[in-house]
Amino acid sequence: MFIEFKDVSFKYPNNDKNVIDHLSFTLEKGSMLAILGHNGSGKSTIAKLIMGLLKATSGSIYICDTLLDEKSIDDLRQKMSIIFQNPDNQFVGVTVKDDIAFGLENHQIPRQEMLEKISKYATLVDMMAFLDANPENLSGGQKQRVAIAGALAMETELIIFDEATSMLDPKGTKEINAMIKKLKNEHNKTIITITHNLEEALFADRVMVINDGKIVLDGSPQEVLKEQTILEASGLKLIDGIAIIKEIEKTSLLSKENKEKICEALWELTFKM
Amino acid sequence: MGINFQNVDFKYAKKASHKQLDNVSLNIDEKDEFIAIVGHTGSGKSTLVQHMNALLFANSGNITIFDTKVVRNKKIKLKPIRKHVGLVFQFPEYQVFETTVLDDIMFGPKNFGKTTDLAKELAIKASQLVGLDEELLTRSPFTLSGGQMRKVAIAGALAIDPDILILDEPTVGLDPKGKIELMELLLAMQNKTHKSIIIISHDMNIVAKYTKRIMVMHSGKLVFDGSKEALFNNEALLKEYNLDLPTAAYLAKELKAMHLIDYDSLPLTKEELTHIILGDSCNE
Ligand SMILES: Nc1ncnc2c1ncn2[C@@H]1O[C@H](COP(=O)(O)OP(=O)(O)OP(=O)(O)O)[C@@H](O)[C@H]1O
Ligand SMILES: Nc1ncnc2c1ncn2[C@@H]1O[C@H](COP(=O)(O)OP(=O)(O)OP(=O)(O)O)[C@@H](O)[C@H]1O
Ligand SMILES: [Mg+2]
Ligand SMILES: [Mg+2]
Repeated sequence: MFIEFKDVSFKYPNNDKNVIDHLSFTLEKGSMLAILGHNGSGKSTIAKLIMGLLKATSGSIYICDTLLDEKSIDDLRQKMSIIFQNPDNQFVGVTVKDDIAFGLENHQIPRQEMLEKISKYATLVDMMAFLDANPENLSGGQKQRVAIAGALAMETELIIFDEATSMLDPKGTKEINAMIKKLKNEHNKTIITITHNLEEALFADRVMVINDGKIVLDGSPQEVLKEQTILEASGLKLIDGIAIIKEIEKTSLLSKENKEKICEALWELTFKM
Repeated sequence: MGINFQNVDFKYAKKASHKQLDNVSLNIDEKDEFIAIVGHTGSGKSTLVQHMNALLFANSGNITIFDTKVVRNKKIKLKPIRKHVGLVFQFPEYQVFETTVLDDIMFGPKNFGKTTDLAKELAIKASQLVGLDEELLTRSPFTLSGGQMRKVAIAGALAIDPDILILDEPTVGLDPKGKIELMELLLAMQNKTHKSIIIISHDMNIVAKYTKRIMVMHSGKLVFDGSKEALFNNEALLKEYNLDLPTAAYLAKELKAMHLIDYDSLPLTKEELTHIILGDSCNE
């Protein structure tokens, strides 16, 4: 198992509520998990607990079968990287190049190798033309691209994307999603994506829905994304293709045969988007 | 009245070869416009809207906002412009700064001369409109989740009640239910007050359902300005600027190609597509 949460709860110091409430789950190495849930449900908090940036109030977290604690944290962090929801929280350098380099320096990568990695990952996110620009002076989508490059450059086993593509244009989103698939399939990376874009959950191996710090759904995208009642109670909606299927299923206006044909087509089209 | 641009050019750096706004001309009415600005990453959308409330100034060309001709370095009063045109930034973090959420939302109305009591009333009303939990009002905005902070930034703009409201990617970070609620709120507000509303978005489902007119930016140029129907039916243009169809339109085209449905005008929303699918067979 790459990650194991055993009865984990978490409270922020200035807030009595359990933001994460007795959470238990495991995540296999080499798989891709999409985490969905309403605003404030605890998704980013879960990501920070995994990264060891926040410490569980109770319960225990294992990363690669090692208990995450003060002793193990430095070693375990070398295996994991995160792209924060707000890319500005990621930036430390005054140029895009410094910024991508920062994580690499922390991983003590030799200089020549570092330069190669910077250009490899800047090329991958199509930001080579901006290496000397100040990250503050980039557009929203450009900032997200740089943040993604910085995290990928560390080549860790686990990568967490916290709404990392929320501001990209449709073409950029498709490119990054294709890259995520490749990381998983060809490089056996473990991926967690936190997203409000349900279409992005379609190609995960597994989808988890969080509501007020608890898991309310956990399964394949095909199973989870049709659970209308629970999704809607968790701030989510059916995606258009599935919503239309539900409408068609209710109607008596179509013949049974016609209904089945259209629904089948919609289902297939939805999952191949 | 409203907003008028004539041949506007703008560069962030004097020496740069590339213009971030390149000969942009447009006219936005004060009333009843619902506009989406779309276009690729770095195409100049945020730069464009920052010229619409005098946060940035053109290098050449003319910008008129309501009755004021906006020029850099001249002693023009910016405050009335900001009351005419309100802007919610792409990153809410740039907008929130007070110690509590309530103070933050109150800042705008106070700044525009409302008494503390009235500002508080307006702020509470705005926070309810965007669906912020009451318990969040006393928290520091910097301890909020991403979506909660977005709502605070939007509430801050609503509390000012500008004549034209511009929102830069307002639905990013909101959960799917919150997205729809926000767009329904804006629509209801427009139906009641007739204020013009402008959003920047990459979400074509939102654009297709809620807006009427679309502007496409491409490398600093305004390359399309017209109805959403005109854009989504223009395949060549969509392809040229890498724009997506709304999901319903994509599904409709595929179903049509499979001879499962037929239609005259392309459906843009799931409601329209559902109607075509269900309505179709009635005629058979
Ligand atoms: N530093 C903090 N202090 C106190 N409460 C916090 C802090 N950070 C987050 N919270 C609260 O914890 C809850 C969970 O926050 P979290 O950021 O994990 O939500 P999320 O699921 O990522 O939401 P979003 O979709 O809006 O990003 C929210 O109610 C939030 O207000
Ligand atoms: N403060 C700045 N200084 C220098 N260049 C900038 C600055 N802000 C933006 N730019 C550049 O201007 C161009 C247009 O940026 P803008 O933020 O308007 O894009 P956008 O269309 O809003 O993109 P996105 O969808 O990614 O937010 C980009 O190439 C960007 O790098
Ligand atoms: Mg979050
Ligand atoms: Mg922008």
